[in-house]
Amino acid sequence: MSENDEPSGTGSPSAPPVPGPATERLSPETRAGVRRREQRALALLFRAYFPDVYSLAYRLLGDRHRAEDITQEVFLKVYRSAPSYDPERDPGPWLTTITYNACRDLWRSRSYKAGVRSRSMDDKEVGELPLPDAKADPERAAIRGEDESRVQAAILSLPEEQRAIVLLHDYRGMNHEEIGRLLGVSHAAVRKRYSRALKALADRLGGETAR
Amino acid sequence: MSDEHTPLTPAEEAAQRAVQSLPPVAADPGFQARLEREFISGRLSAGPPVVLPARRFPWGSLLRWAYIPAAAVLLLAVSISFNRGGGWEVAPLQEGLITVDGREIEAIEGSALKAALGRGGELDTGAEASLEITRPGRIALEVDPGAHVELPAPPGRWWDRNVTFHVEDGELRLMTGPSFSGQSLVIVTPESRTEIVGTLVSVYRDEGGTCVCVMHGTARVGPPGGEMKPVPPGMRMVLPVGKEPYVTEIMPDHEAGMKAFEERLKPSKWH
Repeated sequence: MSENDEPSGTGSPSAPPVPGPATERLSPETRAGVRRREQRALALLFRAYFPDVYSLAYRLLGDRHRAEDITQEVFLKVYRSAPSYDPERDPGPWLTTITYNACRDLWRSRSYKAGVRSRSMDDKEVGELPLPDAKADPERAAIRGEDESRVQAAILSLPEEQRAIVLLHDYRGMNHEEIGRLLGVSHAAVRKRYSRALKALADRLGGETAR
Repeated sequence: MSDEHTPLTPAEEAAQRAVQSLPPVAADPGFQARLEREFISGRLSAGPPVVLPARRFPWGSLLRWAYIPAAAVLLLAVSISFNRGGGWEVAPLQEGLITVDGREIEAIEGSALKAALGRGGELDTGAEASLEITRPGRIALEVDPGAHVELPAPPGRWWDRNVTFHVEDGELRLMTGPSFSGQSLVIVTPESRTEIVGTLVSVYRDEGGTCVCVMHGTARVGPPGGEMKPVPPGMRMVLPVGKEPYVTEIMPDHEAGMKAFEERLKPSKWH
């Protein structure tokens, strides 16, 4: 266990204490522990990546329950495939790939397509986004929440692949090459699709976000 | 971002910034804590108590793919059924006791006869009975009393169209119909092999040998494994046991039998 990974005692009762949400990469020792399914390493992995997984799932799907389902599925897959995980590699892209693939499978499912047809863009789910800093500055948080809902709604109005490309690129920070590997298309194709997606998003937002 | 883009419009830049500035989404703390516990302990992998998302077994997908072999099997079954059609049509011309595959049947018992001979079989017409056996539009047979014939399965419409009759004893007349084109029809006796391509022939066999009479069309006739010779209409090939075959004119009684057979078939189911 490296210094960055040191637990601070906020973990679940049955698990070893772990720090709060972590942004640092896991240490090599922790990653090796993930491969061995050590509880301490798994706890650190969960704490470090749960917010990313859940947030991406939510941004891709716009539905809290579905995001929970996807997140659960992602961590189930992580647990099951942990013994084959290469500890030399950052688990972040791995988790992003699993998350995206799970969402893609959901999009392709008959039940999802049926559900989408019966929902409208006025779904109140989009308007119920949490406001992380509401206690600090309620007024500003309300404005930000309104903007966020509008942006989220615009993202969700994009076709699923465009939505994924925009979010993976600008929300997740992946480059076109990484996205291309994930989607199974060329770097150039991703660049074109990203341009189209961004233009479509800008059209939907009507340029108001420039303020 | 390391990617190079074509210059973005202000609106696109704004959209990009809007996405980049989206904050993380806070999950329900209860869900997060429960999932964390289950993940760390391995109970998530074990199944309950955490209920997995509706990852139902993909019956729909499986069934969708299962349609293909199922449809292929169905198509094959239907094709085989249509190819085979309804089997031989059998009608008695003279009453009597006949034997099909060792089982005795009265010739007037139409349904029993059809059931027994519809797919072919070894037929003995006995001393009195005679039968008309047809595959409408393709082949018609008249089997005289005293004949011992091995009736093949009826020819298929599209494949398995070749049929071979074995005549051990007695006389049968055979006429091909308008839908017979392209098929191969062979009549075999111990002394002869007759290959027919659209014709009306009569085959008679007894212990002295075989006589193949050709009324219409042309048949190629010869001893089994020997030279096959064309027999023109109005002629017959005689293949006596222990002697060389020869071609000569049809005997009047055979000609009359074939004409009667032809006349009888014309107005009925044949055309």
